[in-house]
Amino acid sequence: MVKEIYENPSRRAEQLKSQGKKVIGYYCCLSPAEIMAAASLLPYRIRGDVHEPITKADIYLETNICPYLRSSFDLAVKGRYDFLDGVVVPSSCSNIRRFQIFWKDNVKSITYARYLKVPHTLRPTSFDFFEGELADFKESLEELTKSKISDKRLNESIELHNENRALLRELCQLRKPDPPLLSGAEMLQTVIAGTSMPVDEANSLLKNVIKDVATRQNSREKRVRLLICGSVIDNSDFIQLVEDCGVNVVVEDICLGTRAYWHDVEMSENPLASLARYHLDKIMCPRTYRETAEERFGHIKRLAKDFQVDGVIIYSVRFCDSVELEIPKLKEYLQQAGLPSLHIESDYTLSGLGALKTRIQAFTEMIQ
Amino acid sequence: MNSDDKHKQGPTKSTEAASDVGKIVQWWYKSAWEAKQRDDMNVAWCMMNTPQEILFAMNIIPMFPEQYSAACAAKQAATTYCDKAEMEGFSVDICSFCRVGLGYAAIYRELENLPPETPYGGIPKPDMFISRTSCDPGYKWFQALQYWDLPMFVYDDPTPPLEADPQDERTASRYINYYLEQYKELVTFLEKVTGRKMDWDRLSQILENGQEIWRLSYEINQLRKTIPSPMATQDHMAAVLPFWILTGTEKALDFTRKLHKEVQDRVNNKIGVIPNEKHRLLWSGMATYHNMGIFNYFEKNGAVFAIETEYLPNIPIELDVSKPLEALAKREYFSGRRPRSIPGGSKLGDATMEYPLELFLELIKDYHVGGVVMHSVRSCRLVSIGQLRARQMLVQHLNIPVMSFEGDMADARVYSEAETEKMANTFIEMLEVSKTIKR
Repeated sequence: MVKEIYENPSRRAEQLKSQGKKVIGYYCCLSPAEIMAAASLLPYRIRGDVHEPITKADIYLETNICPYLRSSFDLAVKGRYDFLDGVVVPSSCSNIRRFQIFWKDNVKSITYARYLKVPHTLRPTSFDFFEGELADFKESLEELTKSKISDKRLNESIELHNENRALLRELCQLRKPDPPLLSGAEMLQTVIAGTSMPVDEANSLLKNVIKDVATRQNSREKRVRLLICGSVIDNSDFIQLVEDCGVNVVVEDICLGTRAYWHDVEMSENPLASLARYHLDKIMCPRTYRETAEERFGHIKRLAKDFQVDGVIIYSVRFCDSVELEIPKLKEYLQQAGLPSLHIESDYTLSGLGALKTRIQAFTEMIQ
Repeated sequence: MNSDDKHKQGPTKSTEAASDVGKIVQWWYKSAWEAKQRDDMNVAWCMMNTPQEILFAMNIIPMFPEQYSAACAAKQAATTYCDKAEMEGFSVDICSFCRVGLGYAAIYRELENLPPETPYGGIPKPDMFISRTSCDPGYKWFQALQYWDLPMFVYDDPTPPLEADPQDERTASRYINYYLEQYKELVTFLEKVTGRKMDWDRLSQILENGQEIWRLSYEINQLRKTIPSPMATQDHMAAVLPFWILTGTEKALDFTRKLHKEVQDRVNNKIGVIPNEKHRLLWSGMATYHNMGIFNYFEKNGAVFAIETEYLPNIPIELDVSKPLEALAKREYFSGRRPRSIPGGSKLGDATMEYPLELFLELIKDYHVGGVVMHSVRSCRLVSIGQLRARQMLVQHLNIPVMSFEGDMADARVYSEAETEKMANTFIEMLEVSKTIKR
């Protein structure tokens, strides 16, 4: 079921679109899906395609930018995202800044293109400022839908998304046993599938998945347990490739991994303030400035301990500056924590598979 | 030597004021080394567009490793530091200014002293960092130097959403207030780490100087509309230091007055940068600091860069410098470069991205430009993204020759001089053809 949705992610969105629902594509876990859903819109996470050569985007986009973003836009130009009515682009990094312009210019179905300024700092003023930005964002959605979003409605949406995050955490816990009850590739496919449908449907799907996984006959083997962290991974084939090297990927600190579901939005009478706090403070992306190494990487160490991992793969996509600038310090930090690490820099596609497998196998043998 | 004699000496005729920039750099670095000798907490490493006036007013010397990276590139020392940063594990794709700085700091750390034979005698190890989030390396760079265990302040740099009207009171007030609150936090931070109090009167005076520099630098760029072009683009790039980095200092003000007078004299006397100005061009993107000879190459072929898209001062606005932090916040919001038709606070790189047609159209018309040269900077996302789009718009709507070449601001390894000159030759031919057709 999950695999089918993962492989045909737009099916449900297109179905709802044909019934009159507006679908808003968004990048990054910094986009507040809760507000979009509260506006009766379907938030849809935009992905690239590691198997599709970039052939059209290069007319519009320079080649020295994030290949994931280029891939996603290439798909848009080719019509893969024609079911989207709008696009939301948060200011996650230098690559994505102003990316909505390209969508607005070149994707005919886009009638709403929104840039959302997300501060990089965590001072009280940053939270106040971001709350104001979220209020403007909410207002722009109200204009789009010609309907007000009440605090009550927003809190209901937050509750549903919190439930979603709780279910994903519950599923992730099933990877703690050795061997884990589900693979890293299966986990990523489940997370991705959930970003392509209304959150209540994603929650029902997750409940079924958890039930299935918890009661399945575990045929997996005990192997080296790895954590993967770093840039965006939005295709399970990379995780599968790692697992095919004779390891179990048991947890991920990536934006379609724990980063997206490890914490909840606090329920309060001021839902925008809660959302501001969550998106700035709780999403552990290196694009947000945190002062000490412990503040930046401590959560990776804790995940590694909780999931009893033997080593870490640091995965970076080329031109992902905020991740790439962390790598020497992160490697040093992990080493001090007794965690061996391997850095893989990728061009986002799965090219050079042979060499990649050899490196991962060598790393695995070393830490066994 | 009168101006005509000097004119005959070479294809490029730099202003005397611009040749003072080297002396200003020496004065500035010397000030930093002297401040470093006095006691602790006198030298800050800052990112560009940090409100340096606040630091000057507190007797802190701001050093800008970005500027130093450009200086290293000009002295052909940048790749040594890039190599070092890459050996330390930093990707070759990271901003080359940043890699130069990372490599420089890594050697400094290893030797516990200045890297040997470093250009201009080097910049001293800082006592604190002031970062800015205009781009990713803007705050991750100094974070990667935390082995020095120094206090760091990160200034968050928001740019209003395109969809927002920058003149809208609610948007303006939220953004200006955000800048203001951060300036207050910066002052608190500096007072805490230095143990000194802000001298508010001095800050007001520095801002007053800054206003004068803004007004004069804007006027200089207005004078550059004249034919023949009175000021070379190399001088504009050199003037970035006093205009944007040492803003508010007496040295910067003296420089700006001198440059203004010189450019005005040239306009009055119809003295141009090159003897026979055949083509007037627009430069878009950062300079190739490792090979500034590219500008001479164009000039030798009768083409002069009349104007640039980067570091152009916007129309000055009145500020009440008696309330210095409020004035700074307002300046931050309104001083960025946008086409006149869209006033507001956009920063370096954004204008070309957001309003390519309007911005280029305005500059091409006002500065009588016949062709555009775009430098696609390999390691800078901020200034590169959108150049293709701008190029398409220019060709489609203005039918103007555009040359786009790939290079880098500091990393000479990704730049081919021969290839670029070959492109330039073809481009100059196209300029001739374009002129003939228009006739």
